[in-house]
Amino acid sequence: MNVKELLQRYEAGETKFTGISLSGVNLFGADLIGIVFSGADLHGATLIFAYLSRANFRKANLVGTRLSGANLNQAWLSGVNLSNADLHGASLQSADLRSANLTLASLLDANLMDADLRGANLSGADLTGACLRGANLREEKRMYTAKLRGAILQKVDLQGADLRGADLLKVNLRGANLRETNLREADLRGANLSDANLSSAFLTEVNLMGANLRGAILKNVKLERAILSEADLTGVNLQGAVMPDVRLSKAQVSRGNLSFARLNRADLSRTNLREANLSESDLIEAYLARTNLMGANLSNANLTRAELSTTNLMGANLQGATMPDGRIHDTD
Amino acid sequence: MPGLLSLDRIVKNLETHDNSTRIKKLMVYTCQSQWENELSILNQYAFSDLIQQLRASHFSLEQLRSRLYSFAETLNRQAEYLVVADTIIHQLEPLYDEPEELTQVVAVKSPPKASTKPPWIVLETASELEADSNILRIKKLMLYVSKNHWETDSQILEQLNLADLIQDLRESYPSIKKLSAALKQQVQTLNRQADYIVVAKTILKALQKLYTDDSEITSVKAVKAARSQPPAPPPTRFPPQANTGNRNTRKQAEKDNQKKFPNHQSPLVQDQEIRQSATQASTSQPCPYDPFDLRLNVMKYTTPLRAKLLIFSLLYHPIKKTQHDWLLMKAKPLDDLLFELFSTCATLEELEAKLYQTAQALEDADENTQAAGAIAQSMKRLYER
Repeated sequence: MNVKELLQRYEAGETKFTGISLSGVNLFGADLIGIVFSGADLHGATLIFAYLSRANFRKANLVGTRLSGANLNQAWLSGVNLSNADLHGASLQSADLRSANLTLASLLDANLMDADLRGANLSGADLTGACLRGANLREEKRMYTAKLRGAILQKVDLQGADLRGADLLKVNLRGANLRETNLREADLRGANLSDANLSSAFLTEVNLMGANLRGAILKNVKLERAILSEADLTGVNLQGAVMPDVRLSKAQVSRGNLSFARLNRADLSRTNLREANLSESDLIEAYLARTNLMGANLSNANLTRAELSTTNLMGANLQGATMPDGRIHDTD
Repeated sequence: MPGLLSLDRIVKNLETHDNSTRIKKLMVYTCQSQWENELSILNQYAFSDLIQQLRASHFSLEQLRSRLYSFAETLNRQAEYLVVADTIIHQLEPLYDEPEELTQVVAVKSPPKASTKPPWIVLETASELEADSNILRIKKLMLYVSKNHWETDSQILEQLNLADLIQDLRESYPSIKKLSAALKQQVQTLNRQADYIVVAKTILKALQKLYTDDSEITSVKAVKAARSQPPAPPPTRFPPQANTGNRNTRKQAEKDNQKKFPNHQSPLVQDQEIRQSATQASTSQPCPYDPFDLRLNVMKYTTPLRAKLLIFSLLYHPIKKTQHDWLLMKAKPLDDLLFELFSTCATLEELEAKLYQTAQALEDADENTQAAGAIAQSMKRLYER
């Protein structure tokens, strides 16, 4: 079937084009709202600016298809192969993309609000500037996790999105909007979160080992039992953060603001906390083996039963601090 | 002198600090009561001067701390800048531990005054232009553009300070495009258009470097209450992130200018005075510029690529369906385009007119007009008070 015939038949009221082969055709700006392309072969086709809302692409082949600027709102794209597809500036609001293959797809400035991306594979996809507010990327069963390995998520908008347990290993989330985002138990090892806004994000049990968090906004984050070892948190503001049992070994937190932070039982072994502000913080039973606290401010901190025998406290201010043995540090 | 040694050390520490730029931004802001994002301008300030100025105007570390905090708290990146403030305090601490005589030595320095001295880059631009054989015409046109006053007396023109004229233009026109448009418009009213087009081009070329962008833009979020030092800038139409130059200096320049040309009521000056007094009368602030919220709203009501196509065509050139233009659009994030659009249009009326005009001139006028409506609607609240 050629393009002309397709458009004529669609115009005449036919909507089912199951299993049709239209690879490489040009359907620029075509109005195909609600069309059924399930199992169709559309690889390499041009559907730029096409109107495809509520279209059914179940199990269609859309490899390398040019869909930039297309409107795919509420489209059924579950299980679709969209690898290498160009979805630059496309609208996919509320689209069903469950288990879709989006590897290496371009989703630059795409609208993915409220899209269902559970189990979708977004490895290596470019999502720079995309909006994913309300999108569902949640882990359901182990196998149903959205894969975002190596994805470019710079300046992406994931405010309030559910990324619980998501695989975000080494992703680039620089400058991203992660306000109130649920990242519980997510794997963010080696991720770049510099300048990202994580205010009020849920980071309980998140794995941020070796991640870059320079310039990130971490106001009111929940970081209980999070793994932050070897992470770069230089100069970060974690004032008042609730982070008991956090693992910060070998992390760079020099000049960080951890005043009023709750760090009970935290592992701070070999952590660089040089010139950090830990005033009024709770460090009960914290492990401070070989921790660098040179020039740090620990005034009025609670260090009850903390391990301090190998801690470097040169030039640290311990005024009014409760020491491991329960005594208040003398004022000089 | 021991004081010099510690000063050198502090300068070195600050210069090599990871957060060096932000440190300087906050120091400049605290010293000048003026937020500066332009790296080229920031580079004109020396750490040693800033440190001495801060030391001289704050007699105790506590005083310095409260002042730095109060300035940091007016910024949108408050948390980061509070950390920066702590770094500055920590570094400057030794200056407050110095023996008494040094304190006196430093204190002899005159207290910082409202710096009206143009930045170094402006002076450099001025000296470049001074060398031009067309200098009188350059001054004439600059004056005409910024004050709408045509001065023919060469003696008066010679006495005009070129650096002040440059600064006036830079502050009156937030983008090089706007300056260019204003120059073009004024030249069209002259009889020797051909001659003055050349002059306009010379001015544009020279002033271009004053319009370089800094990718990381932090700006004043809240306006502080009156201070003992230079008054805070009045609330402006531009919410955080808009890089508009210092309105305060402009207003002062306008006042000075009215003294210089008392009989001349410049329409431009009048307009700005009216706009500013209206701003001051109103207590509510325009909606803050949140790039994520704005992008979200645009995307809700139009296809993102359609919005990009329209804004790109408005700002640069009409997009054609060529591979080249397609790639150009890919290289420009929607975020950046929206921000550029916002900085280009001073009023909602201007924004709407430009959007609809561009949409009509493009192929697929219907689709583009739909996008124009969606963009205008999404940006409306940024202009409302």
